[in-house]
Amino acid sequence: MPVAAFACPKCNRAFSVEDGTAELDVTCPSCSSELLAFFFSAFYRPEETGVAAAAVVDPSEASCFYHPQKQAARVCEGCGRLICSLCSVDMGSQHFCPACISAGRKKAKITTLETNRTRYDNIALGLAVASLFMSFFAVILSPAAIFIAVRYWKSPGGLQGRGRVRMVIAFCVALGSLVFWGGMLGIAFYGVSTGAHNHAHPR
Amino acid sequence: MKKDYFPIPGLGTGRGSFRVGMRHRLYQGADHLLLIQSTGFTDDYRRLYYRDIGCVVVRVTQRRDIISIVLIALVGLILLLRLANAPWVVLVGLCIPPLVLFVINLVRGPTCTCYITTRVQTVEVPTPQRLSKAPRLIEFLRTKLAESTDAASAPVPSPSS
Repeated sequence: MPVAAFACPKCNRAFSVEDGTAELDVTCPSCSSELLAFFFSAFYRPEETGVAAAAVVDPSEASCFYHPQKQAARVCEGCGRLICSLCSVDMGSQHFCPACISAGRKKAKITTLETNRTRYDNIALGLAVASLFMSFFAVILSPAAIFIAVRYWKSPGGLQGRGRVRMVIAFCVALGSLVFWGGMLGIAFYGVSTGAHNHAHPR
Repeated sequence: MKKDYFPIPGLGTGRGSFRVGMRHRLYQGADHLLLIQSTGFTDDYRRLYYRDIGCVVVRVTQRRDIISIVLIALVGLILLLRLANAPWVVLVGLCIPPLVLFVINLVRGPTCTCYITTRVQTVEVPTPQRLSKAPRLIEFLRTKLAESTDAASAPVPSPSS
């Protein structure tokens, strides 16, 4: 008996799947794509419905911080407050109250709520590397890379790590580039001015 | 700094997976997969919780054939340099890298694109890119799903205790 369906990722044609099927090897009749589908228990799990919070019967029972008339079901892992099943928001194996979810999104305190990050380490490294190849622009790019590396030193890198190492490399490369190109430009200007001076007062 | 995310064993992160201006990578976390879509200067994160993953669809693609044709065409172009009286030693030296890549491409097997489906979304993941590696992802997900089911069935500490 077909109980569920999955769609071809290329053309969205739906395929019926019988209950308990672990894997399926089909060729899509619409787009001729060869598909291998593997099914997990969540595929057959009925849609979860919201749980109504139970009312407090005994005054000695722990009650929800936000709904004092409802029984507490969990402890919020953000603030430690007792919350009822209505207030509990599941994030994988963690449970948070709506206030922590809201605060966590704004202040990026809960890592699992983060959906994007600006990679200042990559920006600093990009500017530092670019400054190596652009002689005149190096006097702008190198200080910019150093500024970003220092200003955003405490900002988190990517979720997968490696943030600080890039900042250090960016700082060192930018500093080296600034010294090198600054020195070269200094020598060039000094040479020009000395040459002009000698030309004006020949011995 | 404590690392929370790691490459999936035997699969890597799909480091070579590029789209236009975007780089995609896949990592494993404690209770979810993390898909990172990066422009280089910004990262976008999508989390796929193990217990929500309902279906993995693997679509066989023609990428291996296309790569093979491109590499053979490259070898053909190099051999055309013989018309300009290029020495054979140089031609053979230039032909070796694309031929090695051609053999590696053939040995690694057919290519595929993998999609993970939950109840609300279908997401293309950057790894595995070869059909021979797809069972590793399935095995990994089945293991993680069993672990998360065990963790979910563990008694929840009561607030009153």
